[in-house]
Amino acid sequence: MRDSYDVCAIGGGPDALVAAAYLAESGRSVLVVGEQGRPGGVAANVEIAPGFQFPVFPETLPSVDPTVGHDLDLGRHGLELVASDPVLTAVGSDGATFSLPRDPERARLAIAGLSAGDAARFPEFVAELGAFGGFLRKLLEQPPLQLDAELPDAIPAAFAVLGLGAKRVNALLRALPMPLTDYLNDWFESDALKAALAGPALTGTRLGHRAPGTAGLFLHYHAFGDPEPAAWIRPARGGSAAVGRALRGAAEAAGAHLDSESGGVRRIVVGSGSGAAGVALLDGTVIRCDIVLSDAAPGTTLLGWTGAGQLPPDFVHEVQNIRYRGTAARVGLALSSLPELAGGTQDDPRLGGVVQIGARMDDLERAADAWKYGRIAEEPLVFASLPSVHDSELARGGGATLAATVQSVPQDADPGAVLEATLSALERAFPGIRALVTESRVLTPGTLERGFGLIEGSFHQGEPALDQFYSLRPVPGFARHRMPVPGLYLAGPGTYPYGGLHGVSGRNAARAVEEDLS
Amino acid sequence: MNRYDDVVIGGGHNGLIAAAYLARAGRNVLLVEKNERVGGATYSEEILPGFTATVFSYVVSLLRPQIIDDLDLARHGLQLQALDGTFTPLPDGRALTRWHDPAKTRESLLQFSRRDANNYPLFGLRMHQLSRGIRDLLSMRPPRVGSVRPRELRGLVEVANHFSGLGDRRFHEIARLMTASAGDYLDRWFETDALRATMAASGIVGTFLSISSPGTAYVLLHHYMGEIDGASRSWGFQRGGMGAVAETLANAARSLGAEIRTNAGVERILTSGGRAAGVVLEGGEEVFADQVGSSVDPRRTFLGMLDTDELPGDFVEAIRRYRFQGSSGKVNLALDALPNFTAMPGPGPHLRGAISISPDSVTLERAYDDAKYGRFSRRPFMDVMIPSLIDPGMAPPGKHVMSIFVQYAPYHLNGEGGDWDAQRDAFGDAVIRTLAEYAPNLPDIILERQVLTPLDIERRTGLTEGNIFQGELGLDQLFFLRPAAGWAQFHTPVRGLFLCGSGAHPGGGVMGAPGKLGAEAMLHAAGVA
Repeated sequence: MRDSYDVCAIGGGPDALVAAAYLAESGRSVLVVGEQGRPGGVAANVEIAPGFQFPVFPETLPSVDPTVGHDLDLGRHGLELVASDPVLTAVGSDGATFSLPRDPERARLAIAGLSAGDAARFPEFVAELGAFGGFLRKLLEQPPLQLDAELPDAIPAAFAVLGLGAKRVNALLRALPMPLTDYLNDWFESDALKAALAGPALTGTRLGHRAPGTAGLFLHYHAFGDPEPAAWIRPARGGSAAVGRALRGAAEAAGAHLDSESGGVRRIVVGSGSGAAGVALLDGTVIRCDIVLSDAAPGTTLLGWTGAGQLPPDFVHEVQNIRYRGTAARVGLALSSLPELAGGTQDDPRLGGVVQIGARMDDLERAADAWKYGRIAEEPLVFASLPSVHDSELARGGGATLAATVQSVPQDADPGAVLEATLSALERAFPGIRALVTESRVLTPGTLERGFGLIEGSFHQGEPALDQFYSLRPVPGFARHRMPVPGLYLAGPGTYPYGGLHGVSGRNAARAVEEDLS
Repeated sequence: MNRYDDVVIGGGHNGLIAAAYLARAGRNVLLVEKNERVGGATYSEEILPGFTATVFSYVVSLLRPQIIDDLDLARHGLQLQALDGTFTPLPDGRALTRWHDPAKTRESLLQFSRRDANNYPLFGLRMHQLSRGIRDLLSMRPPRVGSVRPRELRGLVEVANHFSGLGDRRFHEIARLMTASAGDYLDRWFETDALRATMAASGIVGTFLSISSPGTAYVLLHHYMGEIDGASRSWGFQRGGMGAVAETLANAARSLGAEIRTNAGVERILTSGGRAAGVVLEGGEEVFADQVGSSVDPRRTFLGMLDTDELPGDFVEAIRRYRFQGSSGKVNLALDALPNFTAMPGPGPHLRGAISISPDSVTLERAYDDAKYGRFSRRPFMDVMIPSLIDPGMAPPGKHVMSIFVQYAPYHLNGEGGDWDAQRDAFGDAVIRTLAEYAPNLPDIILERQVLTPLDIERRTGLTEGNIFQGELGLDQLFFLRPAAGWAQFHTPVRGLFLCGSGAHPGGGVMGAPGKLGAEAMLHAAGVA
């Protein structure tokens, strides 16, 4: 490690690695500082018991963006995304199941079993998602528009960029602020179909599908990744650790230096000229650099590491008022053998996808209600995956590993209660699964905060509600990655778009750095 | 004579205002109203001899001052008296009172939090500044987004300029207000839950949203936008109740030359060659006109009074998708005496303003949760007033009338307890029971009660699904999207047919802007203005 770099990428998460890889690729000298060990952050697996590992990051949040994957050649660094088929199987409290195939045509046939009308409308719905997705991908490729004095000029330009006809523009502008339930009601009558579509899109938020703006989240969710719909859940083979591994490989191959020794950042050094001048690390080292790029939470980066004294008071007030609201727990189970869905076998292809426990729109909403009152839901919404199906390394001890995301878990929930709620939900989908559990590990929002620096345990590092989205994310006026301290850039889930392993904000922040340097 | 320049459908406040503006510009106008009397949801009636209830709507705040001037409403009897404050009784026996007099408000808030008492006037000041930034949008014709026509692009830039003219800080704050939940927004200012809850409650009136639903903060601004006699931030009550507002508007319209026919429901809108040609009244009478303005809601107008094959398919689809989902009911009481609130016993000025049953966030959330699953709120949010304290003529001496706006009462019930006709009494009982928690003598002083479910509101006023705003005030149904994208400029796919009711921009509330803007669009099309 040298004592000076062009860029220090701190925060230690996936976006810091993505930004580092892009910047190193374009010839900058880059140091990536890991927090609590090597860089990667939430792109990691956690041990349940010796030989059993489960991914920290929810499978239902957006996976690596294809452009980022392509630019950084992540395949060469071992990344392989699993496109399970069916994508998702929703299980109701009565045991009824509905599986959504990945291929749109087969999905249409599956939907025909629920409603002929819905099946007939599905291709048009898919076309709309594709058109909106194409446009939203353009938004995702650049920092958000600055909503200020430039606005009058920006609007016609923005519409020119769209390439969408007036009809689609209007339909999109209408859809973005809608409640997801109303958007889906426009299209479909089958509650089971709507619940299967709506469930995963709101992973990790307190927002129920009746909240305005959740349709916008849903449409963003479908803009990540491949254009074909129903292809949104594509976790990495080997779990989120495999993403971390590939990103580290790409950053190093591009020439970035990775620090795994210092323990992390103590503070960001602001020079007398009030620009970023370096970072002080926990081991006492001080690294000089003109550019500091952080993918840690806005609060950590700005209030913790930079310090309120270095920032304008209005800005500090805004950052202090960011709502985080982590609402999801992760539960890992070591199982003595692969569980079976009711009436299924161990060869069941549904075991390769996500099993959503909660199959009615009201089930989803009731689960979200509980969080408002500080409780774990009686019937929580659970997304279960069996990552060892795709990589036996995750269950080296034999048997299987199950990873579950449990929605609507309070910050300080008792891990035992979370486990119990999860098991009773899982029991509905996988009868008899309790008997297979040999070990378990629960990451409550509180654990996620302490272990991975996620404020309030939120995978989004800022609730992705309308008033904290796009140009208003992380705070109004500072959505374009440049912070009030010259040379300080913010990436990560707390900036547009929101949580995921997509790497979009890392790439966009790197681009902002390049623009400013050249 | 059966031929007019313009026919206006519907005699609610917006229809009356539209007719008045058209007549004022010299047009030969007929307004047709289905009911025996004009008023629509601005309506008063006796519920017991000597007891006049303000049946549906109950306060005036946003009636545009320009409309009052243009139509000379003061001369025609408009007499608004400002309500002095809001009284929020709490279950622990305390009361939170907010008055027109800042010193009195401060005194009440100091019981709860010094910080909140300090912030309250600052909040008001901020809202007042921001509301000036929004007010102009309410009187603006929305642009057609996505159109490349020069006029529309200019309109878009005009809107953008309007915002950028506010300066970055105010603009950001408005962007936040438009998108945040009322609860979250108030969280930034206040620490007392009761204060946040009672303030946030005003953000959800008439919507199927909770105080934690994104987009509800915006409505907080409305409370600082009202102008009564030039004074900002007041709710006003009309002597004689809201029916008297309708009388005033009808008087104004008639004196400007408009003809008003009641008991004249419209069966369908006549078209000829793709153009509106008049209306067919119930009973078959045809009335011909060059232009038709409809102040009834978009669903009734397009799906009820026209053949859908006279309209473009995607427009019909957009109107089918337009959401109503009425969420409120109304209970009107004739009282033998005044209610006695535990939190502030006896008569007093606290009874002369709004009485808000919105004691804490959890109660309001639970009230919403009930409605989400198709039940009326067991312990609802209520906005109560006692009109007879302001206008003693509304009840016999010593007696009173009480107006209770109730939320949530979802139009669509889950069917477990039967339909609304089967649940009307249970709904009324829940209202009285909840209010009696704060005013225990209430059940004993009720002489008569009128319970209006959303179904009753629909039946009596014609408001689809009982939505008091003629369509949910969601971000996806406002401004250039109201009622449908590309059709927020008051004209419709049928040439010569216009909208001039709350289902058009800028939406509901007794503000009159859609009536005025709709009339202006008609005059523009007729080459008059």
